Amino acid sequence: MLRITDLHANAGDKPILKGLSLNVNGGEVHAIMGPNGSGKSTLAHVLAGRPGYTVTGGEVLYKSSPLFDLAPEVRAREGVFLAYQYPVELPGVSNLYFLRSALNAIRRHRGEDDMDAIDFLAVAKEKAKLVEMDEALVKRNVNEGFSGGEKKRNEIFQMAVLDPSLAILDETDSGLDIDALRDVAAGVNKLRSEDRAMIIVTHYQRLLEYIVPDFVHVLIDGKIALSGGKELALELESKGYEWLEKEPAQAR
Amino acid sequence: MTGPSAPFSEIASAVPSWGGPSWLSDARKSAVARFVSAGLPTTRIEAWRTTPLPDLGKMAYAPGSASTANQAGALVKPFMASDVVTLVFVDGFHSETLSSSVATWPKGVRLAPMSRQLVVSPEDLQPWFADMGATDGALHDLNTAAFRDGAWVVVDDGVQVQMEVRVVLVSTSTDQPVAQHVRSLVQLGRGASLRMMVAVIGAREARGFTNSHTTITMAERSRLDLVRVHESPPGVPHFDALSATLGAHSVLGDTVLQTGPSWTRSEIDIVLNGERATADLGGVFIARGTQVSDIHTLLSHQAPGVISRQNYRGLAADEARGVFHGQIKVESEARGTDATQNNKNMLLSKRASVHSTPALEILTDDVKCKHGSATGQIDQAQLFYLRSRGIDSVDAIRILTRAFASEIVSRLSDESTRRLIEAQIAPSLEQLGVAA
Repeated sequence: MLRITDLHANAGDKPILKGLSLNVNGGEVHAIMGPNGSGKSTLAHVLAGRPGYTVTGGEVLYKSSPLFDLAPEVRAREGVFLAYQYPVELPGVSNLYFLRSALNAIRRHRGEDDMDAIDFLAVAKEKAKLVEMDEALVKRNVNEGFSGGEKKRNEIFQMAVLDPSLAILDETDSGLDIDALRDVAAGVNKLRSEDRAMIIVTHYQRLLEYIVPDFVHVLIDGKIALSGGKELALELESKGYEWLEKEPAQAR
Repeated sequence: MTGPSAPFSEIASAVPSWGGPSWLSDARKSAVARFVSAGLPTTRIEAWRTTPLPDLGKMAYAPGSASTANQAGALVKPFMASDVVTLVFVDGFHSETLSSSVATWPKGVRLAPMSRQLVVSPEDLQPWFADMGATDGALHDLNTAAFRDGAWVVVDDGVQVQMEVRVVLVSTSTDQPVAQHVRSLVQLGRGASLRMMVAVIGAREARGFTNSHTTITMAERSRLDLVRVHESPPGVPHFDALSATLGAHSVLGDTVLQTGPSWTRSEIDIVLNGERATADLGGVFIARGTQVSDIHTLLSHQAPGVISRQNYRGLAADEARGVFHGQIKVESEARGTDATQNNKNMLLSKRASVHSTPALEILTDDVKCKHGSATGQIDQAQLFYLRSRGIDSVDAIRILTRAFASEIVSRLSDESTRRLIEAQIAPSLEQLGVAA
């Protein structure tokens, strides 16, 4: 699904990713952990194509084709989805209109017909139910006046509607209390499937108690310093990141 | 005649031939005299510094003549509905064929074209012209001198008019460019209420100039909800003046949608001289190409406890230029008044510009006054958010500009009116931002 080889990238002028390699197959859930400033969010943004980041080296193949040849909207249509750490408010744009526009852009890309408003409403209601999002929020303007938890839930709702092949969840746990975290994680778990890969970017192990990953990678100074199974997250929880930062990076 | 008033010289000679009551002829003559000596406004006048008039001098202006209504019919159609009363003016003159039939006019409302009212009972109109001063400016004088028609709307005391009244001014494509000077008068009695729309539209090929002046008088506890569409074709620059006097506890709501593509300037002059009167104003201009869109407001707080709210927005693309000038004057007797003014503008190209100027003049301490102004580009974080969901830049910009304007459109609480306005401004919004 996704093959990252020796990726180097800058945020602005500053080198952040310094030779990151990672392999993600369909159906797998990978957690990327690491201290602040290690490049976790940069990785998420670079994959989504956010302006302000420059790829300076390496290669990313998505579904066997170079990802960086695609404009951000084309990546989305090809099934790449970023759940934002800080979802953006769109005053005056209804969630329904926004999501139907997005879904229809994806459908057109696949050569399918547009979905009309009535059919879409049915889909939106079904997906809202699946991720336990309040129907009132579905009809409101995108994230406008939403609480932190509601915004994160809206990201997962969007993911449910757009049905991506590769979902990148950037610090989805940040700013959530334990109940909200549990609800959002439950939504994500319902979206786990054989044809969908997920990359979960998180600072804390907490989220991984609810979304249990297949693989855990530790990102230190722009490179994967250590990879392991879900038990690695627990080890990091007790030992912190410092012991990894002091030692030279180990091969996976 | 030579000099700056040359394009309108026909008017001076035509005025005496129009007849009418002597007080009106006198008012017209003095207005002509003032106009001739002042000439058309130039950028040397402070209020016109940012918005030069387009070059009107190159065209020979006819004072307007009754024209056929065929061309106008299609343009007016969107504004017709079974539950509204329409009063249509084509090239400056009332069109009986296009207007709603008298039989459908609501009770308690006296409604007439000015051209008829001037013949039938001119004395009703005299009070409106009693205190015409020289201070309003040359285009106001020109309007007084040259208006031939307009809407006359009087709502009797206590009458709540259920039907919306729509006044539509249409420019058609004619051999000669037509200067239309339209004067409308609206009066609401005590406790009366009315919903009204004024639309200024035209055929794409029309040429000329529209000078529309609406004067509103609101008695105590009356309510007027006004929607105005300024959508003149490129060859018809449009100067619009709205002046309203608000009695005690009256409420005026005004929403103006200025889509051009013509040069358009809208002056809004509100006098709140009745205790606890409220003016709730909003508007948006949607400017593209080389369009000039100007909104000038003057809120004059003259009585205790009066409230004014202003929420204006502007979208400027290509080489368009927008102007928002919002003046709030709080007189010393206007204790405990509350004034807010908010202006937000979005620039969609590097060559587009908006001048936003708040002007506050406050002569009492007992006042709440807030104003804010922000002009910026499209929000890059919002744009990327949309793109990252699969929506391309052009559509994303379209969604964001429509949302920006919708904050003003959402002021309209009547659903059928709002739908009409949304449909009416949609093509202008569609044409924005493609080059960004």
